Amino acid sequence: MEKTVSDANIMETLNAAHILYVYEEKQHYLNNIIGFLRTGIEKGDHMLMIENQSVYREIEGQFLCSLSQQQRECVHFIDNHSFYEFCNTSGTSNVWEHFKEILSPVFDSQKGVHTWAHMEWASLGQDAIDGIKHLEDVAGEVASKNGALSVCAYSASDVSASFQNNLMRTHKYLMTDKEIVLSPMYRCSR
Amino acid sequence: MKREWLSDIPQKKNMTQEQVAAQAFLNRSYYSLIETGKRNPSFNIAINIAKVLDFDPMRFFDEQVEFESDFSDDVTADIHTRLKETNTGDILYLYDKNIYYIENVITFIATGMERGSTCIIIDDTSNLTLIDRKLKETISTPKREKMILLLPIKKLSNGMSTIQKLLETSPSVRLWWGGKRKGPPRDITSRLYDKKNKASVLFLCSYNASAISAASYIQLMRIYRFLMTDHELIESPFYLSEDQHPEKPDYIEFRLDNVGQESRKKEGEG
Repeated sequence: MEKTVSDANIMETLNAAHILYVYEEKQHYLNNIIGFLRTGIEKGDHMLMIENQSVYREIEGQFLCSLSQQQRECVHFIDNHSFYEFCNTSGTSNVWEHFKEILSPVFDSQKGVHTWAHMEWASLGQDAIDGIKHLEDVAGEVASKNGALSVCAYSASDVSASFQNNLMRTHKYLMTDKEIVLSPMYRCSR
Repeated sequence: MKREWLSDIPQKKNMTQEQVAAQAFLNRSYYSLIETGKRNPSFNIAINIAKVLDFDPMRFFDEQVEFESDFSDDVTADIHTRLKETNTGDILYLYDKNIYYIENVITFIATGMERGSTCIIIDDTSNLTLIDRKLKETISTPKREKMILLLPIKKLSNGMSTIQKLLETSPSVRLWWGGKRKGPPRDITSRLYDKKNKASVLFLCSYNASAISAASYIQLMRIYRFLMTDHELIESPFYLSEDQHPEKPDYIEFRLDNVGQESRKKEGEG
């Protein structure tokens, strides 16, 4: 099997990191998200996925179905299209209120919370990015002692190099299907 | 900057460089480049080395952040300083705004001339007019005529013999390719890196950052050693030198995707 980033066990090594993932191949994408979920669940943390229905179904078939009931309760899914729609129409500061029902168990616990957000609408990006950031801030308060990882994933063929450069300034790490490096532009935003 | 902390650890553990490299699945010469600070390890390699020597792999990256934060916050000065220090290699420049693009061409020429390099600028006529106007303000005519060649892309084939001559006779040459969406033709790249040429070469290839996809960008990051934006010039984190990647693609064999092209194609197929 071809190597993916999850083999490097990023969750074991990184602590409270913000990662930009620019993916190219769907199978690598699925392998990486499953690796991310598996490691977090093994640590007993909450995993928040902001993902589309189709990918979610694939992950359910390939991985979630093998989890125990207790483990399954640690995986929380928000449909990314609904999320962006909400951010674009209602503003980002109410994200937590809106998704309270799904997110309550996450934020009521004292466990670590890791976020995986699939950003599919780059052209409407800023509101969605702000929404994710707001959620991460809330999650960060809960998880500050445990170290939260957050991954924002974009399709490499759908965003421009210019957009990627801007994202590399706000994310400490840059990840592709097979590697993860310190973002060389990150320092410029500090 | 040499990583003395890294070379100290194997000594304390009575391990040779060769043993560390082998256990970290690296060849010795590449490990030596990491130890001497000439190469930064990828994340996976950092983890492998850290496992062998039992330290936190983040040490490599923390050190990188500390080192980079020493540079000036003035980003324009950053490009100027780095172009002044660099006289060989290849730079991928993804520009956003034409005003910075023109300023950066001027910096490329000015810092090159300071080092005695002949500067060849290949671009479209409208950019060359702006560049020429700026150069006339600061550089005397004899010096301009002696050290700078402004060549319009549409006259490239006629100018090839002049480029060849400059490469053979000048000790160092800087070449700026302003193709916007199109990479340099093989005629140019093969001449630049022909071992028969005596000149040391700094080659810069520019693309409009909004016109190419992140997928193309990531591929280009593996080919070019340096990345440049309107405001910064940095080392590519994915650059593969020829000894690491003997099948490294040619500059022009690589096909550029426009943004969204792949997904539109898939939708069309579906």
